[in-house]
Amino acid sequence: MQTGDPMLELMGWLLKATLQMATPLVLTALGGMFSERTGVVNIGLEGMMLVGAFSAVAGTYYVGSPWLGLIIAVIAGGALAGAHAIVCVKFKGNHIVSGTGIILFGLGSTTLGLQVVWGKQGLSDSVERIPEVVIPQLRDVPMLGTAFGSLSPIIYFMFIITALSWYVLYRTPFGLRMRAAGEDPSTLDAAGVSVEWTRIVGVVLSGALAGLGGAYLSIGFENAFGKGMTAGKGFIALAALIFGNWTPIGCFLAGLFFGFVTGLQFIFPILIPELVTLTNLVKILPYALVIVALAGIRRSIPPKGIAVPYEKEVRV
Amino acid sequence: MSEQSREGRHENEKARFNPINNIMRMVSDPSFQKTAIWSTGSIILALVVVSVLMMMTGYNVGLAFLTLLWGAITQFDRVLFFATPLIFTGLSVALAFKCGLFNIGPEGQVYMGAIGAAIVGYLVSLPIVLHQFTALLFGTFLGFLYGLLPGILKAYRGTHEVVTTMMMSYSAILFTAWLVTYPLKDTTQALDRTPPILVTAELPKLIGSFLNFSLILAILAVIAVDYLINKTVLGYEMRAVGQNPDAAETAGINPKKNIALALGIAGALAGMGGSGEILGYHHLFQDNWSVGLGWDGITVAVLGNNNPWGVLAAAIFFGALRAGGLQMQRIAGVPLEMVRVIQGLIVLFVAAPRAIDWLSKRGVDYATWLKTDRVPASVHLATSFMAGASAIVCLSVFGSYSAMIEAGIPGVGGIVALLLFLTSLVSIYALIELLMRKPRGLRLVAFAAIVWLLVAALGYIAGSMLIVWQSLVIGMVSFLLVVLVERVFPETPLDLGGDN
Amino acid sequence: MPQGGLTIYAVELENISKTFPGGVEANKNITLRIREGEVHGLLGENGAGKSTLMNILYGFLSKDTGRILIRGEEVELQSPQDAILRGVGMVHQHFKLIPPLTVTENVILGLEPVLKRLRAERLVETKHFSSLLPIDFRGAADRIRRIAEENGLHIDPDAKIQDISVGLQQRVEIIKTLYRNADIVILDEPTSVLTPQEVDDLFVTLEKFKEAGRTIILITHKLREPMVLADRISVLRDGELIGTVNKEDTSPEELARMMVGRPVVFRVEKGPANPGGVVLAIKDLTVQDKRGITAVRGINLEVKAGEILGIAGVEGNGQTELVEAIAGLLKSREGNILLNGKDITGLDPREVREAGVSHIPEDRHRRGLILGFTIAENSTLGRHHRAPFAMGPGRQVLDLSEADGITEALVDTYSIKVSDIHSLASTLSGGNQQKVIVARELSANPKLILAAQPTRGLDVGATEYIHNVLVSMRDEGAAILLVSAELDEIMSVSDRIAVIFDGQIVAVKEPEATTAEELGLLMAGHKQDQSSAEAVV
Repeated sequence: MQTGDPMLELMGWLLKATLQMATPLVLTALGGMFSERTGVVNIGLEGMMLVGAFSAVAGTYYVGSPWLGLIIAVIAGGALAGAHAIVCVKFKGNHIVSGTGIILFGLGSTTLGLQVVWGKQGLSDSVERIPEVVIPQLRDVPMLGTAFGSLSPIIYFMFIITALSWYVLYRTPFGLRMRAAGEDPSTLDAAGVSVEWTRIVGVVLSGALAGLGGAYLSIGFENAFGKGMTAGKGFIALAALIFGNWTPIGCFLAGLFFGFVTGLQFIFPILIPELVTLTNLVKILPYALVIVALAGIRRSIPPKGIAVPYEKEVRV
Repeated sequence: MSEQSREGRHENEKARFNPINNIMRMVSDPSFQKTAIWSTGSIILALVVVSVLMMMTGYNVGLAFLTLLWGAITQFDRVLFFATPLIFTGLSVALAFKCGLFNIGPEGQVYMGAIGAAIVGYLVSLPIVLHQFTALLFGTFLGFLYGLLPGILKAYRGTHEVVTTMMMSYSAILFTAWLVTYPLKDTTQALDRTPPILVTAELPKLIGSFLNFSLILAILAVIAVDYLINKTVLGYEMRAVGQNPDAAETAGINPKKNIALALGIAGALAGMGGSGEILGYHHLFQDNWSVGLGWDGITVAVLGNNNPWGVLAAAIFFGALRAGGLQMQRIAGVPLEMVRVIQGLIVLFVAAPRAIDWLSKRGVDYATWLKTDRVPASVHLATSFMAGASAIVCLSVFGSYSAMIEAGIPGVGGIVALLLFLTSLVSIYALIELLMRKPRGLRLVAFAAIVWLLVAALGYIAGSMLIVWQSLVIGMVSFLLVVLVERVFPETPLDLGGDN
Repeated sequence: MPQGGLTIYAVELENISKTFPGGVEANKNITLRIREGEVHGLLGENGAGKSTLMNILYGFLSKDTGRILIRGEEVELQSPQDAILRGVGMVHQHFKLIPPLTVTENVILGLEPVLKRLRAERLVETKHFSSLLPIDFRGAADRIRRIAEENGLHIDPDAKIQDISVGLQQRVEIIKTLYRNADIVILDEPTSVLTPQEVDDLFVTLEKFKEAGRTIILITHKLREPMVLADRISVLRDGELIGTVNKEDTSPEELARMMVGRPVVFRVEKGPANPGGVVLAIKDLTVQDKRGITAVRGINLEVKAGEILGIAGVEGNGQTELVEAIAGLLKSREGNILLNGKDITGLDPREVREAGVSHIPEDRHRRGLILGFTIAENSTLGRHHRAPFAMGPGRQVLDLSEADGITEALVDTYSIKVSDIHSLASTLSGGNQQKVIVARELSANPKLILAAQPTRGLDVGATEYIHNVLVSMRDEGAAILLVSAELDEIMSVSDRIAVIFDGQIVAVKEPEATTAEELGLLMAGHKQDQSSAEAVV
């Protein structure tokens, strides 16, 4: 490590921690956006992240390539979301209850998987990580070098996916249809577009992105899967989605903000060593700030048709 | 939400309040019977899926379920013991739900209640009865406050309770962890825990070393919540707000007050559950003592259809699952986590009552078809059965994929595994199509049969005779059945149309 | 063309039947033939099955039995897309528009032109692969502008639906059908949200369509409209086709008889009012709606005991907020509301109720009833916390037998058709649901009754009943504030009429001393500014 102005270094470090903490949140929040913009509440993001994190490690373990592991995680997340979509869209189930089922299934199946695959209780074997993108020219620049010198490619994906989400949602026919499905499904139906398919695709997309977010945790940030390793990140992503007013840029900024808050908990004990005995209290900070942030915003307007199963055959 | 039919209980009978009467009336209600079918159907479906999962992961399904059942039947006191906190958390979720709120964080409220009871239990010294009462009350009160806060945020700031209760749940776990690591730590112990509570604060045991007085409290809570919801002005207003806050407001009911209060009472119930656990059994607060009481509570409430008596029944069911699950883990070697998977699946299926309606309707259809058209119907049924079997065997063989790698031929093994996995998906799809009596299902079964024969050949190369025989048998039988349906009974009314 | 030997039919519906999952038979074996290029009126009461039949033709609902032929060709309509591709367009009663989206986005939804060879000019169905290509927004907007100009329907393609008036929204709906090249246009109750003048504009547009050779199906429950516009008129009652007549061969009286099944009295029978002292006095009331937009701007009003004051106005001009402010549901910014001289400004809804105000809300499903509650529970809603319904310490225990007894009595007096007072309110028909609300609100012995759209969506029988009940409450001395979008209702029930426009009362008239045309002009805000018909934008 280079030596420089310690304050600058700390800033760089905080910047990096923010990006690292924000990536799973932003990806998952964007996923949630696709689901909720089409009208399906997705509180199962937590479970989809967990399954993504687990399958990334398990996939890497079996196949030997973290990149393939990443793809497997995306597919697994999407598949679990598919179950949510079938329950909510095909069978008009209660979105929140179904989402809870997804979380429970995610918690249970991944912990079970730990025992089945590795015969372990809390932590999997280590696997190869996704190699970080190193920018040698930046290495020696103070602050920036610390922040951007060596980052996981998934962090760059996050930026690309944010832009892509914006494009899809606001500039393509599919995005227009998704927005219509969430605001007023019967209008979309009257325009001759299948509400069910639009919603199912939106939900599956959300699971895929949550799976990617989970995979970042297990093979981008860490190199193993730990029981319950998402620790509520799915819910924080949900909060970021609300805080970001269901828009891609909003999700991105809110995700960065919550990422920053989560990053702070690493910085505090370094800044103030006396706080070490309060580590557990400092860890509460992101959760508490999420509540404060949500309570503080004036008004965020969810899509109108959210959480309402679309019933075509009712008397109009 | 299609709650209307579920809520359709005859809540206003002229009879005085009487729990037994209540139950009898409930049982005779058709909408209750429908819910009961949904709940039971969900349990059965979940168990079916879990069986497949166990096969995939190479456990002995028969042994697992036998030990589970045995463990549940032989240790009824433990079943009730495990059920006790679930009754409280289940009631907590159910009561909030009646007011249209989803209390997803009873775990945190349980922790706050537990730490409250533990503090009063070991720091304060009071005579018996009074001590227990105070400790319980303090824990309950902490739970109340911990539920009231998100309630107030929801009512006055519109902050979504699903996010806040969950965030507060994580906060409570971290906060109590800090408490027992530093200020309240029993310094004579290595583990992070409080000193044990005084004997005066311990709740009396009922039977054995597990079952204690908190069960009585739980049952009283069931009666009290039932009374609150159905026979009081407060309960009426909460239900009104839960069903239609705008209409409630128009009628002069204050939705904000009711929302805040409903989450507060929900928190109090969970807090009382936590206190009961500490005072009745654990006798001290240890870091991470409860793993998932909150989640279990949600499951219990959902399975019990948010009805207090349903919660009681569902809690006992989950107590049995847990007691039996421990036995299962010990004897059949199936990890206890399988129980959590079952829970998740049950909740998922309960969310989709129409799936169960659809399946039961299919069942009735088949029964009538079997009566009128015996031979073609049974052949058709056998084909469906083969599709299902093919999917299950596929998945279970897929599970032993790692074994194949270790057998030395990873390349062929990998192809076989991938093929099997895809075939299982095709078979599941075929099964669904066949259940809908669509001709496409038949073609899919034929396709799966061809893949099976391919797998047999690959299995021969890989040198696994088990795979060869399994694949050959399934492939041949499937093929035969498809030929039978196609050639011998071409007039079989496969496509009877409309499944709505 | 139609004059030739063989009549060409644009649409033939043969033996169409439709039963909803709830068991309601909406269409019973209906056979209906629509000629090419005609304006066909489809007349019937609320709930007669008109919309259902046309939604089946539009592919929006599925039929149980029967055949559909479009230009002689039998078609199987799986979704509206199938109907749209065959040139069928529909303007729904409740507009199929999405408020936060722009006009362009709403019009192109489902048939989005994408960049890359495909031009908006060539209307090509978007396939799955192309639904991720960028939308040609500019091309689409140009096309919309051109269609609008050709048909004299001025519209700004970039405006958001939530920012434009209801009349303009309907224009967007019509442009939507034109954008899809529809030549069979179905209009479902197109005039229900318009002022009389806007209706005239609409009729001009429809005449133009007819000249252009388009076939128009006009669904309505108002007798006047098909008599003005239609060539032939079909009447539906209780899901059955009663008959099809030429306009020249019929009269409004005959149509009314066909529609209702008995002769209809057009006016409410009531004696002269005997107004007493002022019950409700509103002074300089200013109210903001939930979004913070000022909806009521300094209204002054008085309602006397024993009088019905009708508020006429196009929806969205502050009526809702006015009523909600009186009921305590919205807080007023300025001004006072006095009830019998006592200030009730700023009281909460319960206190307003206790002061003697009853409220029949305009949206019975949103504010009037709790559909998941039983009829008995709904009948005590609002009074559940008082004796005799609440007993015990602190009036916290419900006395359910008391509630049952009173519900039985209400069901009896108001002849509400229920099988069991313990069945859910959602199982009742719309008319009976409304009767439950009316019974509950009127049985509280109110001094003031706020009746907002009390007969919306009800059939003639239930409407008559509710009008009579209101009149008899007036005769017993209650003050009644009636808000209605139906000018006929206002004119026939009220003793005085106040016209509301843009949050202000622009005139107060006696029903005998005014005409529908005058009220229509006032409702459109023409008093101040005669020149611009577009003032609402």
